[in-house]
Amino acid sequence: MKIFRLQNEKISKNILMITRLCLFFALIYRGWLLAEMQFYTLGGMLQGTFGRVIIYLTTGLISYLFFHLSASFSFNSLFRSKYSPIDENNVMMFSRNGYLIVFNIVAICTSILVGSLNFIAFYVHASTTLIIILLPVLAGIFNLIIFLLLMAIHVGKNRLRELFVSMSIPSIIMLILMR
Amino acid sequence: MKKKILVFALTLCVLIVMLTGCINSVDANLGANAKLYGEIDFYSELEAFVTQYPRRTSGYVETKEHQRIDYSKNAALYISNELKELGYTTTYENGLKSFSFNVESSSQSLIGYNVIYKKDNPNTTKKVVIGAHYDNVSDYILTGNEKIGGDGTYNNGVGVAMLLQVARALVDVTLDYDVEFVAFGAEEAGNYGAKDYIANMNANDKDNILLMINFDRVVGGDYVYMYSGEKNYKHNEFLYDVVYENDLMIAPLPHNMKNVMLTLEGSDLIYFNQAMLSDSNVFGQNNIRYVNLFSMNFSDMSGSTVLESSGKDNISYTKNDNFDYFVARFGGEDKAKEYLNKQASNVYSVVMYSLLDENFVSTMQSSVITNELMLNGKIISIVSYSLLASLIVIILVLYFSLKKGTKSHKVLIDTPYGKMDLETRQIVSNNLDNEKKNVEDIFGLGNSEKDIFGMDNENNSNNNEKKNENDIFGDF
Repeated sequence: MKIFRLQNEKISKNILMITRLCLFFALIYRGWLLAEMQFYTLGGMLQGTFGRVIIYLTTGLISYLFFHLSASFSFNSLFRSKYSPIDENNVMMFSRNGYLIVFNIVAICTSILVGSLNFIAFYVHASTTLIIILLPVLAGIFNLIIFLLLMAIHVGKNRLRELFVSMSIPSIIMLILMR
Repeated sequence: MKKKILVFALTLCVLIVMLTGCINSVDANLGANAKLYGEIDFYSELEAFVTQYPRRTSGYVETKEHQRIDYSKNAALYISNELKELGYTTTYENGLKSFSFNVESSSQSLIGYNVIYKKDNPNTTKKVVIGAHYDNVSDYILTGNEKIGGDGTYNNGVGVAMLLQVARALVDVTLDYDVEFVAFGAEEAGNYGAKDYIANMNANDKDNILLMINFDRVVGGDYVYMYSGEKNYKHNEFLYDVVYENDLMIAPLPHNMKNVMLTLEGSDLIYFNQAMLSDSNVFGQNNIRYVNLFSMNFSDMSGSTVLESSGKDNISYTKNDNFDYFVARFGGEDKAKEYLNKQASNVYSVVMYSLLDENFVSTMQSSVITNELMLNGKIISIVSYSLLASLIVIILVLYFSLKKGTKSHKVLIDTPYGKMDLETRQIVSNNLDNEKKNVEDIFGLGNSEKDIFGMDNENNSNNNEKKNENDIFGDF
C-alpha cells in the first residue's frame, strides 16, 4: 500500500487528477436516478437532452463537492491528530495526495456499485426512501469500512490502535458528508 | 487548453451515450383479424354526452367571488338517467352520491358527485366495479384568467361513453356476481370521487371486489393498453390471454412506462407512469385488483411526455380537447367514426369476453394484489438515520475508550524543506503566504502576467514553487 505515502509530487498529482475525474463520472452514474427525478421535477424549465445533461452535471458536481470536502476535512483532522500513525522517524504514514487518491479510488468503486444497485432497486420497484436515504447511508458505511481496512493494512498490526483513535473524527466527518 | 477541451468533449460524449434510451415498437397490424364480441356505436354515445355537457368541472370555485359553482351535476344526472333507464338499481337519491373535498388552491370545501348503479345478483356479494370519471377541466384556469375550455372529449368523455356502452351490453346478461357502474366525479382534482367510494367501504366490501375496470382516455390514442400495477398479476395475464386468443386490438404493455420520475401522493414509488394517473390507482393503493384501460402511444415521446397519437400534439388538458377537434384529428367524421368504433369495439370485446369467461371469478380470486412497495418509507428513514446515529455513537465510544491507553506523539511530515511538525509547518506556511502576498500585486497593476483565475504562468516560476509548497501542506 505504498500509494498511501506517495512522495513524488508530479506522479501523485497526475494520479490524483485522474482519480478526481473518474470520481466525478462515477458520481454522475451513482446519482442517475436522483438526477432523473430532478429532471422530471423541473420538467418544463429544462426539457430535452440539454436539460438532462445540465441536471446530470449539476448532480455530479454537488456530489463531488461533498466527497471532496469529506476527503479534505477528514485528512485535515487526521493530520492534526496527535495519534496519527507514524513510522520509526516520526513521519506520518499518509501523504495528503496518497490519502486522497486511495479515498477517491474507494469512492469510485462504491459509486459504481451504488449506481448499479439503483438500477436493480428501480426494476424491483423499490421505494423512493430506500433509494434516496437508505442506500446512500449503507454506501457511506461500506465506503468507510473499505477505506479503514486499506489504511489498517498499510499501517500494520502494531499501529492499529493509533489508527482507530486518529481516524475517529475523520470517520464521523466522512459518514456525515458522504451522501 | 487542448487537454481541457478534450476532457470536456469526452464528458459530453459519455453523458450522451449514458442518456440514450431504448425505443419500444408496437405491431402496426394489431387487431387486424380481431374476433370481436360485437360492434358498438361508440361514436354516437360519445357525441351525445360531450356535446350536451361540455362543462363538467367538479367542485369548481370562482376564486374572485368565493362562490362555489359545480358544473358536474347535470352531467352526473344524465349518466344516472341513462343507467336508470337500462334498469339498474341504486341506493342513492337520483343515483348520485355526493362527497366533499378540499383542494390546495381553495380554503372552501367543495362538492362532487359519484354516480353509482348496480346490476344486482342476490345470490352473491362478489362484485365487479366498472368505472370512468366524467368530470373534465374545462373551467380550470391555467394562465391569467383564461380557462382551458374544451369539453373533455378525450379526457374523459370517451370513458363515459365506454361505460354506458358496456352497461347497455350487460342488461340482458346473467352473471355470477354483481356489477357496479360508477361514474366518478372530481378525478381531475385528485381522484376524490374514487377516494370517497373507497372510504365508504369496509374491509369485507373491498375483499368482495373481484376486479375494478377503469376507462380513462380509453379510446382515441394510437394504442389501447391494459395496466394492472407494477407487478405481473394473474388477473392482468388473464385479460391479456383474452386479447391474444381473440386477436384484439390491445397493445402489450411497453417496457418504458416508468417515464416520470416523481413520487405520487399516497405512493412511495420513485416514479409514476401515465397509467397510474387515474381513479384505478386509488383501488390499487387499497390492494383491490384493477385494470386501467387507456389509449396512448408509449413508443413515441415528446420530451418527457408520452404522446397520445404519433405526430400529433397532445390534446389532454388543452382547449383542443373538444369534440370537433377530436374528430378532425382523424380526418373527418367518417374516418373518426370508423376508427373510434373499431377501437372501442375491441375494448368492449375484451371486457365482455373476460366478464363472461367461466374462469373469471376463480382467476380473480386467485390473483393476490399486494402493496407495491418493498418496505414502508417511514420505517426505512428511521432505520437509516438510526443506523447512522448509532454508528457515530459507537465510533465516539471507541475513540474515548481507546484514547486512554494510546500515547500521543509528535507527528512529522515530509516536506521539500525536510521533516516538520505541525507547528513548524504552520509557521513556514504562514511565512510563505505572507511572502506571496507581498510579491503579488492584488490590483494586477505591477504584475500583468499574474493569472487572476489561478492558472499558473510558466514564466512566473517563483509563484509556481510557492503554489506547490502550499499543495504539499494541504491547500484546504
